[in-house]
Amino acid sequence: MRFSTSMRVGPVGFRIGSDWRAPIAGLKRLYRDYPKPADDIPHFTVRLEATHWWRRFVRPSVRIAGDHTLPEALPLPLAQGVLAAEMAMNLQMALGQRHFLLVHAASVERDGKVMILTGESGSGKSTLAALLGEHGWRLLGDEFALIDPQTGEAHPFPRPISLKNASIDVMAALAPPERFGERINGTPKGDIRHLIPNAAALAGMDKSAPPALILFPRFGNAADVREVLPSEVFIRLTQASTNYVSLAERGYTALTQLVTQTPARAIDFPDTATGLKLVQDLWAELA
Amino acid sequence: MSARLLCQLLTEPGRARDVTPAQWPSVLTIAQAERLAGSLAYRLSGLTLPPSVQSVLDAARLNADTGRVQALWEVEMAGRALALHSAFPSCS
Repeated sequence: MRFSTSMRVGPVGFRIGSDWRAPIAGLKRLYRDYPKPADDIPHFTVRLEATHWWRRFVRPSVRIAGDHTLPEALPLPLAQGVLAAEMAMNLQMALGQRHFLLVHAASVERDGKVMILTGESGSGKSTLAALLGEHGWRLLGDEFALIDPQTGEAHPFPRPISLKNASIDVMAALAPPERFGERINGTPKGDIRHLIPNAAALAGMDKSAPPALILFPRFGNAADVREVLPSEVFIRLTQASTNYVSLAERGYTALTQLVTQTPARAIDFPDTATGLKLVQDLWAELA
Repeated sequence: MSARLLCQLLTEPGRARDVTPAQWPSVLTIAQAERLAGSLAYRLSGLTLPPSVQSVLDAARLNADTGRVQALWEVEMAGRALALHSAFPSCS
């Protein structure tokens, strides 16, 4: 490919090639403090390709390719090239990762124990994790929690946090401008701006820890806490996992162990201050 | 780019020790694209490889194993359905 870069995020090395310079420049900025893949050999390769050779120049359109792809993925405009790369990297993990049980969740660590925040897009898990990461917690990641089937521990995957819409301004008040990527407007999920995890999160990207609490946050309602039974946690986490089925028995064993050993709560919160307080109170009580 | 190298590794796994760190990413990517990563993992098993290469091949092998179990399960189910059909031809 004409332009390329590589990086390691937690245990996973990526190589990204592109027909254009701009997405690689954006990625190099976001990943400037990340290490290179171990032995310089990446686990996954991602390519950002023009849909036709002339679409490199005319209404440039980015098609996602790589080791693992979905045939129905739609191309994105070049202005969203960094987002395309992020989506492609997620896709490699979602489809190709076999060493960890992947749960679509944010995770943070405190006192050597991990809290997993899972929920659908828009539930506020990324925002809560980003906030906690600036309030004395170590951010493990906002996209995937990696559960080691052998030890049950959660491994960090501290990708740049993808902040959406209103949460961009919330975090802009807390973190310096050099930790932000370019604002990407008009994506399918609204406006997106990436926040580079802080130095503690990046320095700790090889430190795993056992899960101690699973939360199902939901933004937008009056404050409330509800206990979630292991049976419901199990079903919701199978839905939140991208590789539960392909891990077969190892996935079932890992998930059963996680669910039976970790308390879980669902929380509603009307604003970020209330959300933070609820989370910290629950942590003090249960973890 | 290095499809030839991939072919050589599949036929003569011992050559893996001569593959340079710069060549491995292409070999692995081509193997994935050609759906030969699982075959490569089996052919290279037992050799000393860079840890990252081993990790990618371990994943490919796990993937192939799962695929095998799923395929055998399909066959088992088809077998049971056909047995039922031959015992009770009116059953469809």
